[in-house]
Amino acid sequence: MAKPVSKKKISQKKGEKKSMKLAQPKITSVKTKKQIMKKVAKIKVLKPKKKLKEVKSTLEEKRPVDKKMKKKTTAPEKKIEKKKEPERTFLPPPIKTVEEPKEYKMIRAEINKVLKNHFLPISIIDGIVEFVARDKKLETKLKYIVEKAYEEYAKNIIDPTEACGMIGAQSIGEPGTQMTMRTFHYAGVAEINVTLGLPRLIEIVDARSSPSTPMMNIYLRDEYRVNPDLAKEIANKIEITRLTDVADIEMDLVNITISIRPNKKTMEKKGITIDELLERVKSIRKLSAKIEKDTVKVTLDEPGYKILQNTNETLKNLKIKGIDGIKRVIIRKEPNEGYIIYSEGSNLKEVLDIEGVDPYRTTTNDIHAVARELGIEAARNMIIHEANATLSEQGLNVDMRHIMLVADVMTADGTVRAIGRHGVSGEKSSVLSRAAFEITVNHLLLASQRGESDELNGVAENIIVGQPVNLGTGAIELVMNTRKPKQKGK
Amino acid sequence: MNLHLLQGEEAKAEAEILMKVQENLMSPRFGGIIIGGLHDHISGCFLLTYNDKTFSKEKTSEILATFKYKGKFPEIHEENGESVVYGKDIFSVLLPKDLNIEYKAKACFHCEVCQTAKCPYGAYVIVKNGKLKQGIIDENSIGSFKGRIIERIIRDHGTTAGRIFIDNVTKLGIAVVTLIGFTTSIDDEDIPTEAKRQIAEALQKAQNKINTLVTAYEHGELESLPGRSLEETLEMEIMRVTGRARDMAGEVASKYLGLNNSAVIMAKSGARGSMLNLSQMSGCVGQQAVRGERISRGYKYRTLPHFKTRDLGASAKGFVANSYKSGLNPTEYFFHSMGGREGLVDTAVRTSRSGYMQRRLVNALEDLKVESDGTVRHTGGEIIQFKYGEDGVDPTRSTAGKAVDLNRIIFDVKQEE
Repeated sequence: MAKPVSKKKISQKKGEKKSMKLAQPKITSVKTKKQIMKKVAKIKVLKPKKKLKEVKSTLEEKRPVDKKMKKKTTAPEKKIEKKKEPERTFLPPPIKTVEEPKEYKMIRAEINKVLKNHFLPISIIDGIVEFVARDKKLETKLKYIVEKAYEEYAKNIIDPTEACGMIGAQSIGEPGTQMTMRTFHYAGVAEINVTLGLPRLIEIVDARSSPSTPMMNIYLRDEYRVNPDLAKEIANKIEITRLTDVADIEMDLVNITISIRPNKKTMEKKGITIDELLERVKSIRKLSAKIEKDTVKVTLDEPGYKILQNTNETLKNLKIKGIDGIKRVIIRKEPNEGYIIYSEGSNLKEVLDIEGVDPYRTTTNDIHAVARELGIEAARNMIIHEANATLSEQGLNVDMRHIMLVADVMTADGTVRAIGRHGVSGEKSSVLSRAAFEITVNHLLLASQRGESDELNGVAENIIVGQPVNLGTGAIELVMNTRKPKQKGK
Repeated sequence: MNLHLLQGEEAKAEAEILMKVQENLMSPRFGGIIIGGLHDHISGCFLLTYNDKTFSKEKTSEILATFKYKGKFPEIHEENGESVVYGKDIFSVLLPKDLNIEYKAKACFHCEVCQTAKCPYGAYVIVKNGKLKQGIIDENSIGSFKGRIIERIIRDHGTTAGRIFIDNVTKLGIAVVTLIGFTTSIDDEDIPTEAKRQIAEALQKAQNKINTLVTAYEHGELESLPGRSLEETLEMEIMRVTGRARDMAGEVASKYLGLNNSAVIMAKSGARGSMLNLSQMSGCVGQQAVRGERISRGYKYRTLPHFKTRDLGASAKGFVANSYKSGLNPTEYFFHSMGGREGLVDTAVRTSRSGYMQRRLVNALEDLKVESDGTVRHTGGEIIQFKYGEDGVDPTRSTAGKAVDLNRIIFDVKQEE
């Protein structure tokens, strides 16, 4: 045990730090609200078709906020680094928006006339427009259809005070028992293994920094997606090629040199010239290389067997071409689409910078990468998409609203947080609620040190003290005159 | 024993509204029913409505009496000098008079172009004004999770009507099944010698195919698939061949098992079991797998001492060519147990993993609440969603996730014309 004096100091310091942290959520919550408001405004105006420029600008706005939330020690350096990063040299053309046919617009206007000020979700209006446009006879009945739809919609609205979170959590948790544990399954492309089933669902909810089987669906633009040669070219740019993949490496222990014999066939297939290869070899420090006939001869600046051994190893792993993290690519021709590149391994940032890749449709299953490159709103959509895909692949039916709620809770503060003690549950404002979950003693101890108070707003806290919970029927207080029915009877 | 009684009017009212079974027929998970008929209820309704089955007046009364029917007697037809009642008319007795619905039954053959009203198998259900015009009543009509009719009745007529319908339709099913008689035994899986010969032939073909694959691999003549090693390619090819062999055996077996067979009726109507179960019983059990691969563990370079080392053939790697009925030989039995054990371990591991995930989800989301303004907020006041689920619709009341059942509205509009 240390001396009591030093202990006190430490605890004080801790207290200070924590109180600072405590003060932070208030600020962040204000900011998140603003952010959300911004996002909502943007969505309404632009719908999903955001231009990359705008996405980028929002990204720039977001970065400082993200940094503040992290520990202060590393933040300033990184900030400077990121700002120095060169602008993206290549910007894809804006997405082609398909104008809606005139008759669609007419029907839409008609629907809005019937609705007046009433709200009907866009998905329903779109559905009605679709139906009516397909069957002209329905046009006369449009008013009736819209009124009927509105009537049903109003009937189906969720009740106030509903414990929607609890229902959502149970609805996603329950099918977990019916899912398979088998980690690997083939999803679409037989050649690529993807984690599916319960392990994948847990991975999404955990917000792991990288998925256990990262993969990307790389869509191509315009002529790239119809021309197999161009698609192949892009695939070669993306797939990582190491020196051992295209050449045989031989150590000459007598002369202390290494000779690299490129395999002509594979070099041609991968689209690499011997000069490019030489350039890459020269990039390693403390050696010189030159071409002799068809081989590359490597001589060391400071000859020695140990160094030779090490150089041999570095040469073997030398990246000649491709993007870090992408181990394998497969090109497939899909109906109505053309060529799509599926990749094992993921690196969203660099793949998006390649010309010919369609940045609007290319996806990865790495949620954190999506959050970094495209922003939190994209990450939210990615969580929803991935969770829904995992569940429906197993033939399980879960309402989108539950999945949306989980995704919104995970991304509400502008960062991707895990469901669990390191994320959402660990950052709750109520001590009793945190203590009721995991690491009980630590939470109680720290709270008493800081003198925290509990507002008893949540579910767990109220159950602990034995009060009705502030949700559902518990949120409403009723006073009833018990005599009244009797009087009626008489 | 402890008895818990409701204390006070508020508790009574809450129990009435929240706890009654009939109030929990619909699941908030996906907006569909979770309670419905099963087993004999479905078999019974299938027998009742399949192939224009008829009943005599007396038998009809007997069936209707089981659920104390008090309405009008179903229509009586004269056929071959006898007065008969159609099974479909007996079923229609339970349907509300304003029910109009069309859908595919479980027994649907999934033709490329659905002929709807002219379905040659009678698998397209048409109900017009509460009368079953065409179609077989099976799992897709009255089963839990899938029963379209139950779901529609609950939506249109409330939970009480739904409860009564479920009560009556299950009683009806049992009544029919007891009246007609329904049984299954091991000889339901009997197939003629011709079928047995065809299955043996298909299996022999698969065996030969595997042998050629293995020899090609051993001679280094096998072409590997892109991005796969030679071994992986071989395994994938063999798995495909064994899978095909099992399917072929199943196809042959099911060709000889018709709808006069109780086991097939159960499988086709969704009452119990599947065609896969039947083909495993009468055709061939198929490839056993551990971790999604053919069985490869056990001794050094072999699975069991019955085989030579490095034998890559079908039977040495867990292919069960026998059917459950013909009986498994000792090695097949062992491989089958290995596959079965994996399933058990899987269940044991899964429960704990998914249980913990559920606990974390609940803890993270338990404090969320829909406020009177339609927003979803944390009890601390932090806004999570501006409109619950982007449209503010209760999943329980939604139709398979959709806020409004447009298909139905359009269908109704077209019906009126």
